[in-house]
Amino acid sequence: MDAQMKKGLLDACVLYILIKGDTYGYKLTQEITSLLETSESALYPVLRRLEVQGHLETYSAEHSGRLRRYYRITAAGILRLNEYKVELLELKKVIDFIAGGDENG
Amino acid sequence: MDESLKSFLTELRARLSGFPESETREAVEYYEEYINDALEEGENAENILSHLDSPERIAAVIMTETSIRKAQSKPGLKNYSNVLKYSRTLITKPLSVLLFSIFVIVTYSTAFLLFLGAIVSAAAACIVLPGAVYEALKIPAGFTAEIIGTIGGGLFFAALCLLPAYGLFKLCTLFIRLSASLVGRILNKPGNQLRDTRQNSTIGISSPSPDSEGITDAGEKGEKIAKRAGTSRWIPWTCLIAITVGLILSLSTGLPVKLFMIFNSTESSSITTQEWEYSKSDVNKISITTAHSHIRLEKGSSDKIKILYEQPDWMEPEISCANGQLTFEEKSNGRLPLFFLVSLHENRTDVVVTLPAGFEPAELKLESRGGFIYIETGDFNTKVKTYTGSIYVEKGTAMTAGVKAGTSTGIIQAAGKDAGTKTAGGIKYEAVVNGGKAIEIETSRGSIFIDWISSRGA
Repeated sequence: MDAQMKKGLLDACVLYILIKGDTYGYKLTQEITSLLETSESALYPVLRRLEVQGHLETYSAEHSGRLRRYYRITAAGILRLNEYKVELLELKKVIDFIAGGDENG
Repeated sequence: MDESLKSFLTELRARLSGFPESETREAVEYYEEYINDALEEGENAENILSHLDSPERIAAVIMTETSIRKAQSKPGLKNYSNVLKYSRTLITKPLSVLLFSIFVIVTYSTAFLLFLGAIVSAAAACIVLPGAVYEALKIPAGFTAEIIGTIGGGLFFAALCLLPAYGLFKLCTLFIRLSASLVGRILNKPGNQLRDTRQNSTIGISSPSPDSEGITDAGEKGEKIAKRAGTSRWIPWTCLIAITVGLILSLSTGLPVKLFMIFNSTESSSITTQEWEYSKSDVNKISITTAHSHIRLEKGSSDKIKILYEQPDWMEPEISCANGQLTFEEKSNGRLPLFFLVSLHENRTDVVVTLPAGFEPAELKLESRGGFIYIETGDFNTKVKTYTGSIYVEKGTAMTAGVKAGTSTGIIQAAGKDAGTKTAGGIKYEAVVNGGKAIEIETSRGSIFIDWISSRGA
């Protein structure tokens, strides 16, 4: 898959997972890699970028004697996710069109 | 924790050295937590490591990504050089390395030149305005118009320098933003060097373009960007206002017109003619010095020594005659700013020295900084000197004195032909000295014309 497209999809996936509830790095990675074929270490830059852009924020909570960092979506992140949804709906139209063409052909 | 996992984290930390401590800690903590969570889920060390990129690659991606983001929010040469430094480690193919090196050289030197241009223009502005004020302070209090005109001119030129400085600086930051974004795009290109060999997947390097960043970034950051853009716009407007005010101020005083006339050898309008006469028995030595008026030495019909001076309103003459020494000196009255430079250009006003026939002074000295000197008579020892002015000697049949001439950068022509010997210091010329009487000519930047038929009537 094109890296630029994957980048956008990664951002959207992360934000979508977070809107369902706060989570931590490992869990997030497992969910993403089951969807998109990507390196497991590729997620950190994505999370860091989204944090710097203000789309998500972090907090620490104790877990079995150590601190675990949790990610939480922000209001700006929700707005961004909605933008992604609009873009993806457009993309879906194209995909349906192409897939439909295959069926007819 | 397994040794191999510990060494993974140690190496990651080492690879991130030189990076801000907070960023390094955050990244290492993330991967430490990730490994702990993976172990908790029952994964073994080998399995975990096989799913992760090498510490070297992870560090390079983090540093490149962060440096690009930094270069875009704060586009400076240092931040841009970090982008190039970190992204370089992500490129391994020989051809890509070569192309990327060319890209680095071109973009970095362009950004550097733009920045240098901005600095030079800004420095010029910083010198011009205080310089103009300093010059204005040197002008005598009586010449209010010239003082205002000088400050106005300084304001005009300083603002004129500041405007390109601002433009170049903006261009430099824009260029760095675009270049940093381009680096991100190059590294993101599918099938490129970034393709992970083990995972056969690409690592996303983000490069939000400057405008999209402004739109998508909600909240505080977006506001900050908008605020920065708003506050910086006053600089060009202030410059434009200063240019207009400075121009109106200086033009209204008539000072630019005066300087324009001098630098275009136009006849000055504000001239008062003065004349002095001396008996030839009172004079033995003559010394004439001008700033940038021409000096003409002529033969007269009366038996008096006459000095005629066309005095422009920015000059004052000083004349004295005592113990056989006649001295004339033209000086600035302080009215024109930067007179040191102005006087390098000739002014179309004359000091005409008329000598009676048969009069022979023991010593004759003619000196002008920027004016021309015409000698139409003089069978006696004469010393002629200018800095930028040319010297014309009409050595017709009546004149028999020899000529010794030298110029550093000008030419010497005798009877319409190139003459003289080239020396290390310029050109030297020597004509036969008859009876020991010689006209000694010296000019630094002007030319020398001997046997010159003057186009001007007597």
